[in-house]
Amino acid sequence: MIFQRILGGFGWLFSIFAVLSFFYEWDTSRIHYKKLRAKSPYLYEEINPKYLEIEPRDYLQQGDTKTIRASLISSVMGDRDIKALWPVTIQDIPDAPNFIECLLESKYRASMPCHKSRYEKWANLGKIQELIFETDFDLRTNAILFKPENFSGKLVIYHHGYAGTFHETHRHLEKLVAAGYLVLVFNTPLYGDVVRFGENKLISSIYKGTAPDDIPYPTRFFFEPLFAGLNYVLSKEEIQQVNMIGLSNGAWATAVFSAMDPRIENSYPIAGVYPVYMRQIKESAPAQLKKNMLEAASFMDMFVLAADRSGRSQLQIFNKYDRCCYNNTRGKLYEDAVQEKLGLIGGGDFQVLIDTTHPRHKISHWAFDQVLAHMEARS
Amino acid sequence: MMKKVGMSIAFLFSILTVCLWYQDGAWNYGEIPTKAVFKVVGFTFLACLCFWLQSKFRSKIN
Repeated sequence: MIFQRILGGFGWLFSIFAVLSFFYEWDTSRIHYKKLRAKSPYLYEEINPKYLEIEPRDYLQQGDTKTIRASLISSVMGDRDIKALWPVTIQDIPDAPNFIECLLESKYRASMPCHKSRYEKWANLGKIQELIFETDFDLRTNAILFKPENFSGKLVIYHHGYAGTFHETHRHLEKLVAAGYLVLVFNTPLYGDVVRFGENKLISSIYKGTAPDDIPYPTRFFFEPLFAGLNYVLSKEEIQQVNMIGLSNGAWATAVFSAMDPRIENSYPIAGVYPVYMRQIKESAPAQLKKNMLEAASFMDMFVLAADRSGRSQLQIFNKYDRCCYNNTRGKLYEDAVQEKLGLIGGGDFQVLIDTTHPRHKISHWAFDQVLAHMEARS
Repeated sequence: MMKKVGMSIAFLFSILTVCLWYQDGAWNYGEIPTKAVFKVVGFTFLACLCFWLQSKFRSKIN
């Protein structure tokens, strides 16, 4: 009798857990849960007054954009000839290892061969190629090039962030290919294929902030594949528009790379880059805040550099209720200052959007549709 | 009767979860992430298992 009651009690308990799990995980209700659980009103809803006292214009340099860009490139890339960077190998995607090996893959190590069959079903997909790069610190990393069958003449570079791989965004990438975009995708180095996190001790220590301070160009390995990949694609295809999208740490890469390389016409950093003065604890990845780079150009300068001429633009998107970081509406605080500076130098467009549709660290359907509409409108 | 109500509620939310997940692309970046489907369906399965075992024991005793 007691045993029956216990079983019945557990039955009810699990039923209640099923209901609670639904509301905990469903984006619409999870937003309210996150708001209720917030330790401070400044986490999501209100702007901390200390940020209102800071004048974002003070973080903008007065010099001309060409000089600032040259200084930024020199501080990040050193004397590397960025126009000559090139992939070391271009190849088709190898076949998947056995089923069990793919099943046991962690999300940090998700490899292209294991996901190949998913991509091959995409509408309008012509060909998939793998570009392999060799960089500083003996890193061997890759990018995947998705070539559409009916090509619109537009390229999108997508850069994923820490703690995951671009495979997580496969639906967004699928939409791009279906719309005729040539898509070149990068993981944050050490995630996904080739060399994995922990296998390259020096780069792992740069990520953790424990690397020696005297490494001359500690983030060059990050941008070498981007320059090489873009050089390769622009030489092989007839491209009329170059766009770059990045999530989280990929947003940082997007902000820095689009500031360094004027070939990027429209850039979309999502949930991953604030000026240093308004960054909070979880927004301080050591590799993003290297002193030499920030002395050459602040993030505010980089936002201006990314849209420094008519026809170029940067659209930043932040998730207001992001569980991880780069949340709130802080991005709106510097939007006017960047727009004002762009107006003075005859530059392009800069805009900050706030995504209130979910409480996660991701690119939502809403955000992606904004990006797609923005790119289409600028064709 | 009560256990049927408990199972129905859990089932209803399982179906709702799967439908929302599927119609939003059946992936982790949708309105309901894939891991949530495992969670809700898993709890529903456990609830049903407990209720089923309870009824088995009851019929054995009777």
